[in-house]
Amino acid sequence: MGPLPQKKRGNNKSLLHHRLFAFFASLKLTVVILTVLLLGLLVGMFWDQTLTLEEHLISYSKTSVFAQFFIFFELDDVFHSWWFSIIVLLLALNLIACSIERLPKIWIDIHHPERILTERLLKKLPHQVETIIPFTKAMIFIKNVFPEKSYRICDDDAFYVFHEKHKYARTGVYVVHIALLMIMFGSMTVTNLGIDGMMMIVEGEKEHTVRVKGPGGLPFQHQLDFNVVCRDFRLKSFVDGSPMAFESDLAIFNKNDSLNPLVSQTIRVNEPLQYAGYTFYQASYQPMSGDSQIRLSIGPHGGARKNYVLPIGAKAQMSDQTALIPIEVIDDYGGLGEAVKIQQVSKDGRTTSFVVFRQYPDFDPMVRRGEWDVYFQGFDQVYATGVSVARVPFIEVVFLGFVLMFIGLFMAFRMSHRRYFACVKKTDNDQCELTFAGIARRHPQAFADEFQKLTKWIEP
Amino acid sequence: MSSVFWYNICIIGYVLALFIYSFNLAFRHAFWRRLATIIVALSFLLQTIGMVFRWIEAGYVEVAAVERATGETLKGLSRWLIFTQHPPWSNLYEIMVYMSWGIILVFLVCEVKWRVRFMGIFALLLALTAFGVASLTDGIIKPLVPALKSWWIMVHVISASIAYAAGTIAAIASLLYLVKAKDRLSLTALGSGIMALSAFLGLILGRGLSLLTDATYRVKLLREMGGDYVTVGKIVEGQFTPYYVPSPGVGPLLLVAILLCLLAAVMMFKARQKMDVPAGWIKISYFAGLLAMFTVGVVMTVNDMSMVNVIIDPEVSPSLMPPGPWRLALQSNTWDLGFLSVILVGQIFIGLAILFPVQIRDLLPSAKQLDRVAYANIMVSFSLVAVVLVTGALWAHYAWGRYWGWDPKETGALVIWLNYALYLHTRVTYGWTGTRSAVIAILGFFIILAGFLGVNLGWFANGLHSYGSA
Repeated sequence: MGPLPQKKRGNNKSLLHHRLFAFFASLKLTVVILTVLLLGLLVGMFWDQTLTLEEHLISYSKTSVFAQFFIFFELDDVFHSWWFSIIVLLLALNLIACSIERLPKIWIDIHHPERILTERLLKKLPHQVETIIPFTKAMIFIKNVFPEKSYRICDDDAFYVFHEKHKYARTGVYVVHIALLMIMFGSMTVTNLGIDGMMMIVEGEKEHTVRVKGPGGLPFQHQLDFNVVCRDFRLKSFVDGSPMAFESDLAIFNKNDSLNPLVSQTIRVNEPLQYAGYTFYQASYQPMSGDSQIRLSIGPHGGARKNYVLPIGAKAQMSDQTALIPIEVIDDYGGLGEAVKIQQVSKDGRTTSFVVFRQYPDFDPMVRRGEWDVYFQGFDQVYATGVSVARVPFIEVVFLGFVLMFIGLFMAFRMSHRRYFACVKKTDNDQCELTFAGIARRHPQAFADEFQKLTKWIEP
Repeated sequence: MSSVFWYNICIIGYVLALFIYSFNLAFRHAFWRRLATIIVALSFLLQTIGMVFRWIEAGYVEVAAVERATGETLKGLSRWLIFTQHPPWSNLYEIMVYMSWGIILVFLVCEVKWRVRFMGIFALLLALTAFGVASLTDGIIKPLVPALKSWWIMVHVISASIAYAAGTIAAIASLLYLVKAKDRLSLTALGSGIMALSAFLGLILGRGLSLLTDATYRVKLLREMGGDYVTVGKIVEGQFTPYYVPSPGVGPLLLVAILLCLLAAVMMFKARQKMDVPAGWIKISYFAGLLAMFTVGVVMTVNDMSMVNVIIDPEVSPSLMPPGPWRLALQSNTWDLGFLSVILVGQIFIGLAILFPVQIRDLLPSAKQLDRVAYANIMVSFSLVAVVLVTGALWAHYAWGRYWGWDPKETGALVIWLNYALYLHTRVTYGWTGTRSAVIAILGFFIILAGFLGVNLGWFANGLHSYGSA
């Protein structure tokens, strides 16, 4: 940003809104805000923000004055505290005011640049050369340095040329600022309108309550207007027991309907389900206390089988009124591995029992040869799946802000606004006085090198 | 050939180049300088090869773990996906190796572009420190936790490494600038700054209040098992907590060092306007602080090496796991030693500048050049930290449903970014170049240390990024 002519405001300066505007548009304020923001962030970083207010008070505040201080500044939730919000708001106002103050001037300078190399302008330009060379040589130089379409004008005794590169690069800073405003707008709305909570859904059950951290860190509930059902949860572990992957089959139902799922999808870590503005993420899991479920596959001898998942003591009713009930789990049946003892109750009330083995699936149909073939396929521990539920309004605005920020950063840092001026004044004997000058906003060294290379042409 | 083989050759190369750079300060011969740069470049290549090997090793581990867990043999694309999912920057050991890689990469670019003398020495020292710390941390490849199985980790971590490396190089250039330029900051003021930082580091090493109340410095107790060191600890509420024992003599020494450093800092700060190069008592106070810090480091190391049989209070010892004999080793306080050596390098360099101000300043490149290097690196760092923040936010959005959660690591990256925003804004608006910019840039290095490593080491609250802690 070069020095821009100051407008005379006269008595307006004393007006309150002018002073306010000047206050918000000052870059000093930016620096102060950035410093305070940095300090606030450091506080939030050093202080454990995952603990609740009570836990903090127990460990840190021995005196009531300190507790008062702690509560007043909401040090348990720095990033959502009133003072942090005020700083962010001030930064937003500052960004807006700065842009209103400076962007129009730059816009005018972009579209109506000072193109004629006057004495006054020459003083501001860091790179300049003045030589007296043959007129034809000067013309060749101008033809080589300045493109066809560059601005040219003839005066009584002089000929002026002007050319610039990347003239929009100067707006890059403001593109970044607008992007930041969009991201800040997003973060403000998330704090107030967004939802970030958890729901634990037991396998096979439905749930519509989301636990969220409410105002003041209080536990809070958010009711969804639909039911989320966890149809199945699968945990795959490495041999050492650490989790390899876990996933849940989720389905979403209307509240008064349990037959027709609106959506059903398997969610994994890094693969969420999205529905009605909410996003359901696989976050954690929790084994439920109680017995394991036993997975059995049962069918008539030699015929097609059906799968059953039963807890101990639950009945599997067959088509001929026979009931099969797993009654006991045996961890190791005489060296043959895991087994389940099954009780068979026929329709006439006769009760028999037998054992099926997990490792020897052929045992039951080949050796026992009963009316029903029973295959023991393993256990199903019942889990509750931990689903984190989030609703982030205006996420598109935030993402657009990210894209804009990179465009702006690229414009601001990589593209360098450069201006080239030349003035040719004819003297006698086919000689002329050539003034060549230039300025760059970024990468001054690279421009200095370029300028030097260009001026080699016109060395006498 | 394993990755460690390549890393070892590459470390030898870095050490060789470090010697050549150092001795060449006296000769200033272009040939030796070029030779050292070529050695660094070749070693860098070897390190890259080592990282590729590490990636392949991790791939085998991942495939084997999945095959053992599922009982299936992976084939084709699914095998390839699992094989490549574990890049060599997913635990603390790998991150440290990777950081040294980033620092050398940025250094090489700066060396080719600007040929800044002295930079090589600092960059290599930092890279070697990172390697040293890595060699003391647990380098065993374990299968990735589910949360890290994402392609976002590639671009996110690559940009983080280069961003933080560029910030580090900018801090080095700024430090050199402060030594070189006499415009506003004297060597006395600079010495004051580094002594204050040393005192602060001393407090962090002594874990702050605990050092002040009982003057002891504690390190992790270890048990040697098959050539490796295992941390000794006890189970408290179902959680394994490491057991710390006092390192004899270090506590009081550390207190003395902190006091001496503080004293030197105050004395030099008072005299900063009067003298450019400290003299008399002020000079003595600086070297007293330096000597004290150095002694702390030596005693720490000697304790670690010599205490091979630690006897614990019989009331506590039965609850410790694994059972004795217990000992100390460099692994007991790896990070403390690493941070101490970083600050000692700075102290010794400024000490040399205080002893030989004319010669050192003469050796340094022009102040303008150093300022330009710092500025360029910070522009790179600022842009790349923006990439880190945005890719992190996108990843968080797809993985957890919120793009920003004020996790300590996220906040740390934001602090680093804002600090550089401050640097760039003051530069553009106030025309802050040179001294004041350099101070912000050096501050940036410490913010990087805190935000990047501090979080992983659990200095702050436990966050989502604490996958590998020492």
